[in-house]
Order: sequence, then structure tokens, then C-alpha cells
Amino acid sequence: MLDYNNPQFVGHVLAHPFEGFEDLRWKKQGSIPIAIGIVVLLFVSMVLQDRAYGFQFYVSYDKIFNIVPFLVQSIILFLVWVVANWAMCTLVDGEGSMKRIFIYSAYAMIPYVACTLLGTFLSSFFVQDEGIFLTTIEVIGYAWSGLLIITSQKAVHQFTIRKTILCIILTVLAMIAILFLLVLLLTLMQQVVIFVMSIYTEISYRFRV
Amino acid sequence: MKKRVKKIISLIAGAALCLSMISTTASAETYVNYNYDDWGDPIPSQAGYVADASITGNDIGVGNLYEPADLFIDEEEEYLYIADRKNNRIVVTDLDFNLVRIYDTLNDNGTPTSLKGPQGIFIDKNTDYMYICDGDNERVIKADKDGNVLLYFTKPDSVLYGAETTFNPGKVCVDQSGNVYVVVRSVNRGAVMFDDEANFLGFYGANTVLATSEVIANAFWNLISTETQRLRTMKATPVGFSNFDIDGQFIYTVTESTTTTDDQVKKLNPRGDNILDAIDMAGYDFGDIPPAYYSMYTVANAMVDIDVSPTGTMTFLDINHGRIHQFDKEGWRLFLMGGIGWQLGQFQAATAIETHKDKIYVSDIRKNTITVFSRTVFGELVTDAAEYFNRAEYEQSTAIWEEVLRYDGNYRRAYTGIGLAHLFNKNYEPAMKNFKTALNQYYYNQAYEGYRNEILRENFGLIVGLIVLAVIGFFVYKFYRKRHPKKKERGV
Repeated sequence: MLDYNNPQFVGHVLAHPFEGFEDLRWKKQGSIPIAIGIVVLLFVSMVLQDRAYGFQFYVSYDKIFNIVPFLVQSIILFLVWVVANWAMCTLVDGEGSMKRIFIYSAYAMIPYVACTLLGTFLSSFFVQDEGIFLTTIEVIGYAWSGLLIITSQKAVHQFTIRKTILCIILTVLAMIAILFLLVLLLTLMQQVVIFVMSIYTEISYRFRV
Repeated sequence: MKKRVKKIISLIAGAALCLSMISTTASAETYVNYNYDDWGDPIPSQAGYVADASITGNDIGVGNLYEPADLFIDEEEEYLYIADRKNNRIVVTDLDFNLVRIYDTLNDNGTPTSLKGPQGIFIDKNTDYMYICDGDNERVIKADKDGNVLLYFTKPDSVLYGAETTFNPGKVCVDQSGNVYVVVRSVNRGAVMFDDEANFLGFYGANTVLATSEVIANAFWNLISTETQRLRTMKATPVGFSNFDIDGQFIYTVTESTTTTDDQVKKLNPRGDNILDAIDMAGYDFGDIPPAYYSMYTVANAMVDIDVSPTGTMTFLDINHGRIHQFDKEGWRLFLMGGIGWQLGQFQAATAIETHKDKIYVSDIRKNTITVFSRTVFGELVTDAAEYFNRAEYEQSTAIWEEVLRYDGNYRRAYTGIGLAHLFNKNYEPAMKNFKTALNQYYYNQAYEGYRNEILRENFGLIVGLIVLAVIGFFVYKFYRKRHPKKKERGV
């Protein structure tokens, strides 16, 4: 553990959910490129889950494929989580920097990503009666990632467990607020654009006559 | 040079115009032909039926029809009975609309009794007697074909029926054992049931109240409110059914109500149970799929009539959209046709539907006409293939389904049919391909299971060999690592 390099630390963190992140912090390890890779994989796994899941389990709506919902559900949601968590941790005396929150949270997502990919892959080989295996894989992914999220938060901010859970709840609330504001911003921007456009049209008509 | 270009352009334009005219004459229907895909989206389809003719009373030679409320076809004689309501008569024609006879007064033991607003007509196959819902006279008449009255069914003198409930019979049908079922407009407890001697037996096949949130809330408030308060609350009553048809021992009922889709169509066995449950079609909306709840401008489906053919094909009539929906026995959607309008094949207020062989007869009480639809080549193919399909003779249906696909490549049931033929011949791979096209998960799963077992069986030796190799390889690797440890494990 003492001289693990970054990829080896990923394995260490996954295998030691309670100590791993503390070690990661103590050794000041964790790499941004790996974290970015995981978030991209998160996005890819979600798209694959929709497009490549076994037909006997899931019928995707093939007429329209829109990438935006997947982007929002994976990458944007993750970034919002990071920002909201960073904003909230300052309120409850967390020690994490934005960079560390990003890295640690991304590492915590690995089981979910892996189980989604594994489930998507295996779904093509199972029949409906064996669907329970896929459900099990999915549940394992959720549970493991959930556990890692909590311990990663605990490690990155050096919280007690109670404070960690409080911080997570606050973060979720903050995420909702941020997303609400984003939607509001988008709608208002749209209004502004429409306003400018209509003024432009009006003036251009003036000049044409 | 310029002239030549102009000439060419005008030639092309002329050709295009001709082509467009051809394409408009090719689709002669006055409504959009569509069907639904597995996602419930409407997609264009071929016409299964085309409207042949719109028959008025003058075409028959009996003066104008005035609100022809009900139709009935006597399968043996091949006569069409039209309940011409406002003209107080029953018009009988053959299927080419040549007049056979008119019943307006019947002979009741020597004294003539005249019809008043007949709304329903039924002929019992077994006894060949007519049953006429003589609506405004508040009676149902049983008569022979010569017009001699045999029996009256009038308002039951029973506590169960209720003294205040009026008796205004709308539709009538008779089962094999001679029991008479009457749809009474003022009764929502099901059809009023008589035995063959006009004794009141009870109610049959009542609809249930859909447990909406409002109904549940009212039930709660009723628990804690006083007697007078209770009287003022809205009562949840089941919707009565508006029409029915009988096919052997099963009675099919439809309700016109637009507030619920729960009991819109029921297929009742003699006990009064809805056996559409058995094919998972109970509570299914047999009308247009995007229902009324989306906007205040779309109207809900209102099924006013149903006809069941001897092969079990169900044909529904939706008065609100003027649309005819045909389903086969197993609940597969066959065709849709019709629309609202004044043109041929469109309706204002279509109220009765009858099918006979490859024809559909629809009466309209506002257009005062009877519209005749006849099956197209495409319709014939689909009907034949569906017959084979429902008898599980998938082999025979394959060729027909392939022909169907030449007409309409979107007809997804054809893919299921072809796939099933492959599945039963254990050709799993083409079966899977067809089921995937048809979006039929259930059969795809079965085909895939067979396919997987086949592959596993064929490659059993290979798979076991690979597993053994992997295990051996793992132990060899371990042994090797023991001899040549990695640098890190040796310690720095």
C-alpha cells in the first residue's frame, strides 16, 4: 500500500471501502485523469444500458435517440454533485478541496459503472427466468457505490459519520437548488434571446421598407 | 437552348403532376389508414376495408330512413333487419338492399299492434323468432317472422327491479337456452334478464365502479358523515353498458361511457365473469390509443356497438370518432377505419354495426344511411393469416404473412407470425430476428432460450475444455509466481 501508484490505489480503494479513502488521503494520491475517465465511463455505461441491453429484458425506444438526457443524468449530475458538495462542506467545516471531492466521488462511482457495464453485457446472455442475476448485480453496484460515497465523503472532509450523512443530505438539497436555478437561467436566457431576436427582426423590417 | 431547358422542365413538371394524380386516386379512402406500432404510436397502414356504398332509404325504396338505430343480419336467410326508429318500423332487405318486407304493425292474436320507436332487433338463431325492442311502448316483443306476436316482455313487477325505474329497452339478445337479455337505458346494474316465458330473472353482467381516488375519498367521508350529509354526496354508480352481442355462449358488452375505460368491453361467460382477463385484455382500451386525457379538445372513445363474427372477430364502433376498430379473437388489432365527416366512409353519429362474411354494415342516425364496407385484398390476407395464427397453424400462415408484408412492411403481427413458424421448426435464429422486428419480447425470450441451449449443446466439449484449461492455467501461474516473485512482494 505504501508505494502504490495511482491505478493500484483504485483497486485498493475498492477492496477496502472503510480504510481505502483514508489511505488515499494520507498518501495524497488520486489522479484527475483517472477520475475523468470514470465519469466518461459512467456516461458510456448509461448510454450502453439503454442501447445495448438484452432485448428480452428491455425494449428501447428506437425511433428517437437523444444523447442529452444521458449527458444530464451522468456527467452534468456528477459535476453538480461535486459543486454542491464543495459548497456545502464549507458550511459544515469540511476539509475537502474541489479537486479531491471530484476524485474521491469519481472513485466511489466505480462499482456502479462496473456493475452497469457487466449487467448490460450479461443481459444478452440471460433469459427472462434468470433476470434475478441481473437484478442482483445491479443491487450490488448500487450498494457498493453507496457505501463508497459515504466513506469517501467521510475521508475527504474528515467528518464523523453523523456529519457525513448530514452533509450528503445538504448536498442533495443544494443539487436540487442548483438544478432549479440552472433551468431558470436557461428559460430566462431563452426569453432574452427571443427578445433580442424580435428586436432584430423588427429593425430589419424597418430598414427593408 | 433556353427553350429546350424550359421544355424539359415543363415535361418533368407535367410528369410529376400525373404521378401525383395517380397517387391520389390510388388511396380512395376519405380517412387516414393507420394502425398502431408496439409503442402505441399511430403509423400509416394499408386499408383493410374500403367503403363501397352509402345506402339511403330511397335506394331501398322505402322512403327516407329516419334514425336507423339498430341493424341485425340473419345469417341463414342473409337478410338485413334495420330498426328504423323514428319511422316506427323494421325494414327487412336482402344483402343487396332489395326490399323484402316491412314490419310496422304486428298481429297480436287478431288485434293489430303497432311499433313505436323500435331501437333494437334480434333474431334467435335456434328458434327463428324476432325480438324487437319496442322502445317507446316500453316492451320487448317476441314475434315470428310472419309478424304474429308471441310474447311481450314488459317492466318486471319485482322489488329487485324497483318500482320507480322506468323500462325503456334499447337492445336485446337471446342466448342458447332461450334467456332474453335486455339493455335498459335507465338500469346500470347490467342487462335485465328474462326467461323464455318473460319472467324476470335478475340482472346480468353489471359493470364495476372503478376505484378512482375520488371514489375512495367519498367512501372515507361517508364513513364519518351524517345521514343527511350522505344524501348530498355524489354517488358512485357503475356505468351501464350500452350494447352487446352474443356469440354462442359468450355475451360481449360495450359501454359508451367516456369516464372509464375499465369495463369498456367485456366478454362475459354465462356466470357473468369477464373472460377477457384470460388473454390479459380486461380493461384494455379497444379504441384509439391516445385517449381523451391529454387535452380538452380530444374526445374519449365511446363504444356504441360491437359485432362478433362466427370466427370470434370483434368489431367495435366508436361513435365519437366515427371509427371502426376490428380485433381478432385473441385481442390482436386488425384494422381501423372510418372518421367523422359527411363523405363516404365517414360518419356523423354511427350507432350500429353488423358484419357478415367480408362486409361491414354501419348505420348512422344523423346521415340516415347504411354504409357498406368490404374487405380489400390486404384485409383478406390478414384475416386469413390471423385465422391460421389463432389456430396455431403457423406453417400455413407464413406464406400469407409474407404476402401481407409486401403490402405493409409495418404490419408487426406478420413478423410475430413468421417468427412463430420458425420457432416451432426450431429455427431459432430467424425466429429471434422476426420477434425483434415485431418487438415481441415474450416470444423473443423463448426463441433465445432455445438458441442458447442449442449453442451450449453443440459446443459443450469446447466450453468444458476452456474451463479446465483456465483452471490449469491459474494453478500453473500461481506455481510460477511462487518461484519468481514480483519485485514488490520481495520487499524493497
